[in-house]
Amino acid sequence: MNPNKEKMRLYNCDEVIIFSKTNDLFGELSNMSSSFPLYVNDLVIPSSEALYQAMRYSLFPKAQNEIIKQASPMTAKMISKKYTPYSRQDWELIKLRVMRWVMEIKLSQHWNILAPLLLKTENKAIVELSFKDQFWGAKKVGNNTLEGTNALGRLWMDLRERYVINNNKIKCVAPLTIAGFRLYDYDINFICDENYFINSEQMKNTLSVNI
Amino acid sequence: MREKSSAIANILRDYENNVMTADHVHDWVSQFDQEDQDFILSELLHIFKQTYLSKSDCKKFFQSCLESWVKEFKYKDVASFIAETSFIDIQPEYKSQKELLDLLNKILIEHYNCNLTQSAERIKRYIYLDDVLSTGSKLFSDLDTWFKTESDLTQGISNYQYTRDNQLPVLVIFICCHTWGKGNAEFRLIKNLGIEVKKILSIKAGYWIENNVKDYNPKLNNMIPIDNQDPYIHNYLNNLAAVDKPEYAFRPPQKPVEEKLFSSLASRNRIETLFLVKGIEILSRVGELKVSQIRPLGYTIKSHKTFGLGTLFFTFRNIPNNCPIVFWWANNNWRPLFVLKNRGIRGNEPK
Repeated sequence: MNPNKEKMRLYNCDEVIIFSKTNDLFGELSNMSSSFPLYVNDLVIPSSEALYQAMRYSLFPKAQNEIIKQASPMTAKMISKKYTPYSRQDWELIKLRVMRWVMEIKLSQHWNILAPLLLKTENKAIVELSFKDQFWGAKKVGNNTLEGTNALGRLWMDLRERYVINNNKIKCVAPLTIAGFRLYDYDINFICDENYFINSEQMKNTLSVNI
Repeated sequence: MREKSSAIANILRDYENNVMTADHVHDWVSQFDQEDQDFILSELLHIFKQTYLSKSDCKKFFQSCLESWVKEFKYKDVASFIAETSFIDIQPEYKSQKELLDLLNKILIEHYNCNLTQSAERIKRYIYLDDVLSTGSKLFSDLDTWFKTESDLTQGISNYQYTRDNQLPVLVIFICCHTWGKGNAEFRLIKNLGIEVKKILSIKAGYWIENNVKDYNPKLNNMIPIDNQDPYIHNYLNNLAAVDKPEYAFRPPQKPVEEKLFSSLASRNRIETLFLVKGIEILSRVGELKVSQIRPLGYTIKSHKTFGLGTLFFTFRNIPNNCPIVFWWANNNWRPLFVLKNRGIRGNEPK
């Protein structure tokens, strides 16, 4: 990772919400959490990390499948590394948009857990503590200081501002206008929250038939 | 033709809801255009050999499940496994689960010197057994209800809390399972109950129908036609009240990558179109269709703008109503190959 120095921020540990390990406080915000599977193209994707990594190879279904079939987000990331040379050529240009899109889906499909959690962060800065990644997160540079672009933390702050504070639940996430942004050779259209497909089946009316 | 009809009748000979004779098969196929009849018989002969499950196949499947569980959970024999297993019995009398549990009971008595009344002396796991998972709605509603019901073992605690807190597996076994519906049921259960359900629930099947066109390299071992731009077919689709997921109506011509179920890609294309067109024709005679889940290629979710699940899996005791309607429709000047079980029981009347 080659962080752009101008976009780097300094954070005082005492004043910010820090997340890092998935089992620690605010660990739900980590992409490494396996508690937030996503439902995309009627497929269960085990984690936000898996979806993000899979989209790096959006014209390479075999790599996508190998990434998505991993139950562990960490393993999904490791598998993804193996395919790095086959990444989309524009990956560095689009990866922030892709990450935002993934996180919007995560927030939309797990609103009941993540919206209250984001409200708890009040209006504090949210920072992903990392040991080496100063692009997505920030690392300790002094006793009480974190330095990094903190892209992931800033995306969460933005989603908090845009949706959570106004209680403006994301019902459907619009597709990205990126050429060839595909999962297993299929375009990805609007991705909606769980109410969309649960209610659309009108459960109670179908119970009496054998399906 | 006669030989093929006989061969088909022979494969289907233990179907429980009507007598299968060469004459019956012949009579059924005679409802199609003459130039297609021999072809239809050839292709169905090819398919039934693979996906008709006789009673003895079903027994073998249950026996293999029992034996693999004994190994997996490290029991000395089936009887000791049964003693520590509880079978979920949640469906009404006339549904498949009860009958399959009865069959399982007979197998236990015949081969393993035990029976289901000896089950659940101590409960270390639960098993939910059924024949076919199609859209996933039934499994979802059954398990959602069961998990939220108070546990027999501890007052004031739901089955969900009990299985989760004690890490008791809930094994779901289907004879046949559609992958699209499985994902749907699984995700809805996670959403309704909590992520921990993932750790206790496992869904397994003897035969998988990989029917989500958007999955990775799906087998598409069901009927899902290619779009041959036939206005008759498009007209049917466009007149459906359903609006969701129209992109699931057709498969791309290059999929499946490898044809495993039909005898060839050309035969597949031909029989899918024949059954679809005939199904639309039958439905057009119905007038007002009261059940909007009914489509020419079988029941599906009512909001889906598709032709039906196109299931090609059949068992001795019944066939899913998700199979193309040419197989089971019994009205409007159409005679079925398979008479459905429970016709006339509320909700099962195919009208």
